[in-house]
Amino acid sequence: MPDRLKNLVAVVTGGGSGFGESICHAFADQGARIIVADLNVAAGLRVAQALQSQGHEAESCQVDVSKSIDMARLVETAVKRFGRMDVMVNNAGMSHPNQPMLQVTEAEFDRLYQVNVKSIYLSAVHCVPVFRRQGGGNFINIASTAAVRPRPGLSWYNGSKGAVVLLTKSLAVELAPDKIRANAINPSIADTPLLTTFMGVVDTPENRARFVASIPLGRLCRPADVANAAVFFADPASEFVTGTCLEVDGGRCI
Amino acid sequence: MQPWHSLEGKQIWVTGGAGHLGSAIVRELDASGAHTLCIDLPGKAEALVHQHALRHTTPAAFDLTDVDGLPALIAQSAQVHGVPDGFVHLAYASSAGKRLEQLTPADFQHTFDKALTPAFVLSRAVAELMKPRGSGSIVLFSSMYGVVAPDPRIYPAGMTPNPIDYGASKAAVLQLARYLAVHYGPSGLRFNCVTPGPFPSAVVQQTHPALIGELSRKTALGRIGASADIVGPVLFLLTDSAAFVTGHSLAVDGGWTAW
Repeated sequence: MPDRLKNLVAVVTGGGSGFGESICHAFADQGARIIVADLNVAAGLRVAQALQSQGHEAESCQVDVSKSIDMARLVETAVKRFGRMDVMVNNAGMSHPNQPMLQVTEAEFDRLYQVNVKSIYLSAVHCVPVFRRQGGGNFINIASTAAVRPRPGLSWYNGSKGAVVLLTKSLAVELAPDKIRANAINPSIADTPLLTTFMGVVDTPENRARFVASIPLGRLCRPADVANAAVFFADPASEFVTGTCLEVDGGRCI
Repeated sequence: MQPWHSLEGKQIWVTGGAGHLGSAIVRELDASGAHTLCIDLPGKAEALVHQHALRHTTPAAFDLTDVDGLPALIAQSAQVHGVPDGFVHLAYASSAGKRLEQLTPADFQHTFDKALTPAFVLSRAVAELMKPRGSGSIVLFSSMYGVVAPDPRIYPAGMTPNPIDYGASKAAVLQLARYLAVHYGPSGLRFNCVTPGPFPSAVVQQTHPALIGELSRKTALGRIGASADIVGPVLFLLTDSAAFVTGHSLAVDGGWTAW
C-alpha cells in the first residue's frame, strides 16, 4: 500500500543524516511532502535534492532546534511552501560521549538539554498553533531505549531522553482534545553518525559485537527500522494510537 | 526498504478472526492479498467469508480450549496451508464475568485454563513451525486492563466491572510475549502484543450508553475505539516494517494508559 501519507506535510529535524534522512525518504515514498531541517546546511540540502531528484516535493531549511527564532522560521517555511503542516518529527538530537558522569561539563549538559529537551518545548510552541488552526496534527519524537534502560556512561543523555518520553505522553494527553497526537520511538543503538559517541570505544567489529550481544534479534538498529515506525505513527491508520512509546530495539528493553 | 505493509501472498492466521476486532483485521488482510486462515467457532468464519465475499480467506474452526489437541491441529493446518508468516491470536474464551466477591477459585482457574494456557500452547506450536524458516511475526492480544485496573465507579449498577480474572490473564499475556520474544529472537521470530483500550462490542454500545460516555472520557482522545482502529497497528506488527520490533506492548487505546 503506497501513498499512505499522501498529501501530508512533514517536517523532519535532523533530516540530513541518520534516522532523520531515512525518515525523510520513507515519508516521501509514501507520498508526503517534506521539509528537511538540519543544522548542517549541506546535509539538509543533499537530502532535499535527493528527494527532489526522485520526483518528490521537498525543501531544506537550516535550523538550530534549540533556538526559538529558528523553530519559528522552520514552521513558517513549511506553511509558506506547502500551505499546511501535518507531522512534526522531532528527531534532531545529540549526546555527550560515553564517559563518567562527572566528566561532563556544565556547558555540555546545558547544550544537551537545549537540543534534546528544549527543542520539544519549542516545537510545541510553534507547531501547536498551526495544528489547532488546521484541526489536528501529529508529533513524532525520537527518544531512545536510554529512557527505559539506561546504560552507564550516558547518564545525562539518558535523562534527556527520559524527559522526551514523558513530554510525549504529556503532549498527547493535553493536546488530544485538539486532535493532536504525540508518540515516541525508542531506538536502540544504531549504525548512525552517533554510534561511536554512544559506544565510548572505537568502532571495531569486536566492540560492535558487545552491543549486539544484548539484543535478542542479534543486530544493531537500522535507520529504516525507525523510519518504518515513524511512517506507522504518521499514518492515519494509527489514529487511535497516542501517548505511546514504541521501542524499536530488537527486544533490548525486555 | 521493504514496501510498507506489504502482506500480499503472505500466509496469515487469525484466531477469533470473525469477531468484533478480528473481522476488521481479516477483511483488511484479505483486501491486501494475504492468504488468511480465519479461525473461529464453528460456522462463524464461513459466515464472514460469505458475507463479505472474501477471496483470499479460508475459514476454519478449531477448538482452542483443547490444549492437548492444538499442536496436532496447528501442524495439520501448516501441511495444508503452509507455515504461517504471521499469526494473530485474538480469540479469548471469556471469563465467567462474575463480581470479585462471587468469583470462585474454580472460576478463576477456568479463565486461565481456557484463555491463557491456549495462548501459550498456540504460540509455542506456531513458533516451532516457523523456527526452521527463521522468520515469523506473532501478535498476541493483551488489554489496557492487563496494564491498569478498571474503575468500578464507571460501571452502572448491576453490571460487573471488568473482571479480575480477565485482567490478570491479560497481564500474563504481556509477559508471555516478552519471554517468547527473547527465547525465539535468535531464531528470527518476533512476538508482540497489541494492547487495546476500550473497544466495546455493538451490543454493549447499544445497551449501555452511559458507560460508553465514561469510557470515552477516560481516553485522552475522548472516544471509544472503532474496530477499524485496531487494523493498522496489527498489520504494522505483522509486516517487515516492524522487523526490529519485538517484545513490545503496542497500546491502541486513545491514550487511556498514557495518563
